[in-house]
Amino acid sequence: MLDVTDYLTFVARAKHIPSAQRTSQLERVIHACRLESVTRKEIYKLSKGFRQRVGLAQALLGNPEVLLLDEPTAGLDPGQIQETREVIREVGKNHAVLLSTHILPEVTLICQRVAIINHGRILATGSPQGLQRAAEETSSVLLEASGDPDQLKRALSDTDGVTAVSVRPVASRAGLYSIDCQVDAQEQVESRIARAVITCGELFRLERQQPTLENVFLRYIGHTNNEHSSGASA
Amino acid sequence: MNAWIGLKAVYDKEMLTYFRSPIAYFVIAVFLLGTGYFFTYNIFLTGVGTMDQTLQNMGILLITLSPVLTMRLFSAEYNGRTMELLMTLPLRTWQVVLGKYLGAVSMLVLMTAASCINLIPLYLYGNPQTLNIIAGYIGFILLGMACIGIGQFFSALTENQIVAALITIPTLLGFWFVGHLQSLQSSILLRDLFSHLSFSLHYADFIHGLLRSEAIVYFLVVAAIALTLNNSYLQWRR
Repeated sequence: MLDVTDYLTFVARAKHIPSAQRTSQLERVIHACRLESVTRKEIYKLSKGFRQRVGLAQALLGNPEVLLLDEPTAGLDPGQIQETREVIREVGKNHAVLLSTHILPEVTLICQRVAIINHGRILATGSPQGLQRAAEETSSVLLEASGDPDQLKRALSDTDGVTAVSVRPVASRAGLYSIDCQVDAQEQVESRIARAVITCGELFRLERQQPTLENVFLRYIGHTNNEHSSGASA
Repeated sequence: MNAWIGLKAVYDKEMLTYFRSPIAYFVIAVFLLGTGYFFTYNIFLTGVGTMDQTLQNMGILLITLSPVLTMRLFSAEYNGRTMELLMTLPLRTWQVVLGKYLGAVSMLVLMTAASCINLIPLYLYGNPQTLNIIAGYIGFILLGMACIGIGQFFSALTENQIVAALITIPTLLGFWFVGHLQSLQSSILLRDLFSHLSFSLHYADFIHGLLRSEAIVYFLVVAAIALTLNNSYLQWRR
């Protein structure tokens, strides 16, 4: 069975890398993918994280302009995920890396540009921060409070910056309500909401929901799905 | 030139794989043990100083051993999920197929060369016919080339090495024994067909010291057909 060095040597030769450059290129990718500790180990004995990085290393041989990675951290344990991400970020300094993944926090961590694709159509592109900002237009504030639900609802609806309110009783505790306020993203409405709640009840918890890329993604996907269904009904 | 580099890369990788795994040593050991046994048995039992019977036995031994050599060629690549890599590297399918084939043939040549140790006592104490022996060994290599081609093709069809070997052995045995069906046929056409298809009848020519172009071409054509099928199958899979 082939060990990591043999294997990378084979790939380098199959990629027509001249023998004069082979050693230096091997050293470079082994260093870039942090494989120094396993160069003499057989590949089938390696852990999944290392194997994934051997795959990355062989892709880096020959200095490709673009690297296509499909779910590079799938099935790895948290430690391996972190290391693999660091390797990818490192590689991204000198190569264009195109990465497809379902793990959206990963995108926020390593990507500079994002495209959201659903059913083969690009729904949105931009930086992760830009997409999050765009989604912030209607962010929400979640709170838990006790008191008369109708009063609470009225008080909150009258508050500046709050556009919609929904009140639901909390199942586990009688008299407690979970309230979802849709608010203007640009305004700091938390203190006003808190004051409005205190006038007619007691406040237990207040939390501004940061729009994650997940929410952004769901919003875009949701939009298209609605379009699809409305198109079908028309 | 470029084509050569890719082929050589695959070939070298194959050779490295053979010697990094126990398979090569196992096959060579069993083969040498077998040939050594047949050789002493034939010589001491008959008292005739020829390689005829031993070469005949080596043929059958090869039929049963060569699948062990070829079963991993593609099955192991499927199984180890390295086939995708092999297919996405800037290599043509034929370079992969031929590289692997030549690797296996090199193992065959190595085995054959090692078995020549039997010739030492033969030449020391007997007076064998050198040309006969050379012809026999050429036939042996050609027979092996056909067997390896077929085995390699079957290895490309399944990701299970054992299954690959289990299809290859009966196929090769079929080719070996198909000549025996000849005597059961009354139709001349079928008799001819069976004799033309038979590994053992063609191989016997070589053992008797005949280098018939028909026999040489036959084994090479079988190997070529198997490799072409192998190549097309991989291209279709791609």
